[in-house]
Amino acid sequence: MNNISDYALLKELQRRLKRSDDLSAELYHNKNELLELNQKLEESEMFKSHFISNVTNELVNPVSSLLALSKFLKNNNIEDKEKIKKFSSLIFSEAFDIDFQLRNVFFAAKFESGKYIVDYTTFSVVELVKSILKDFEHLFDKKNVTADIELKKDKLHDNISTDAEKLKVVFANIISNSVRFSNTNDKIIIKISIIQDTLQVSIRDFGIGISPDLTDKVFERFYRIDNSINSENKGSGLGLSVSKQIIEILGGSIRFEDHDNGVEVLFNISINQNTENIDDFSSNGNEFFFDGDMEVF
Amino acid sequence: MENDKKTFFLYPGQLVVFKEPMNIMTILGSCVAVCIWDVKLRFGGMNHYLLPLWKVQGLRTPKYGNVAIETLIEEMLKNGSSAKNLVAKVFGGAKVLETGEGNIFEIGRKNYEIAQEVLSKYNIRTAVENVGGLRGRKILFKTNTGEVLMKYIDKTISNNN
Repeated sequence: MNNISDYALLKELQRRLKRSDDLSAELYHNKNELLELNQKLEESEMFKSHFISNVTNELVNPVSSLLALSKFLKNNNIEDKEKIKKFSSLIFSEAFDIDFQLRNVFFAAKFESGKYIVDYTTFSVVELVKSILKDFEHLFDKKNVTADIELKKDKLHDNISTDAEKLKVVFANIISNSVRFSNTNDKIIIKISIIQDTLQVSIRDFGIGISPDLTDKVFERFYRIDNSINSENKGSGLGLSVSKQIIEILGGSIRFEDHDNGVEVLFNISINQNTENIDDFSSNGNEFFFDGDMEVF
Repeated sequence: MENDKKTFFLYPGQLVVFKEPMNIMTILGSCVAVCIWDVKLRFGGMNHYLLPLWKVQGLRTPKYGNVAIETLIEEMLKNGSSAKNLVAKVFGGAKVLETGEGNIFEIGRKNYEIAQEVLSKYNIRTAVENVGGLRGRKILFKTNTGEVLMKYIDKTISNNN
């Protein structure tokens, strides 16, 4: 002990004191992180239970109306063609809604289990958006909302290479939200830009808008802005978290921008994937990478 | 090289278990892949996660280590494995030298630590691990033999692997 100088002792003490301070700071940080996480988990649990009641609301009720409407058509000999048309379009719109909600649930389940496949194809993005607008025609007509597509591109065509089915789910979720939160006679502007290897999309509505502090929250699973049972805006609270997951898988990002009137959703994805990694199954093509400098475990 | 088997390319955030012989291939930077093999039933599965912990942000997917490893173990058990017959091989977790938000340099290490934590919670032995360092890795897991081929990648790889 006598070998240690006062100076060295002081240095060592200072070092240990500093280490202890650092550890306390880290502990404090971790504690706060834990508290925050706990709060988020509690919220998530709450959203989840809302989800279960929402599912009841959004599956049982439409199925009941489907049954009632189809039973009426079946049991009554209606000759008025207009009436038949009206009933069948009601049946279609209810069935369409159920199908759409279930699709989001299936996608969420696939992503949460990790069992998804990315299926790249080349297709026209404008045609894809048009087909979605056609699918949601009944929703647009109900509120007399119209949609404008604006295209900007640095190529002759608007073909892109990505997973069409997944991109369609993203567009469908954002567009249907835009219509649902629009006012009667509003317009939605869909801007598509294909520049080099990136697809950039902006979907702008002029509806009721969103509070700026909720622009991140909407991507949390089961989150719904209006959770009341009587809310006229349907939804499982999964659409945007599913969309965000898809965008990340397709190599992009998504965000909300609030405006004085309405909301703008902006997203981008990479549209020129390296074909080496595209084939999920190949008989032997990839193995030659292991010919040299390889280790076996 | 055995060319009779199929190769499955595993993307980040995906998770697969194959009962039939399959070569599962993936490319890792700061990400970690855990290969789990059943020594008795001779089949296996692999995950590839980007971040250590799911902190209730977005969907609870195997993009996060704690979810990815638990789900992989559950999948193995669903396919008839007993936990005592499972061994793990852990790869990745490199320091990827790219600027990014927060503790980007620590992500590789944290990804590896969560693997140790979850595997020991389930009492699953880690037979092999090749983690850390500054280089990316390309691995190929043969689900019928449990063998893993690994090669370092020298070129810069993206943060997302």
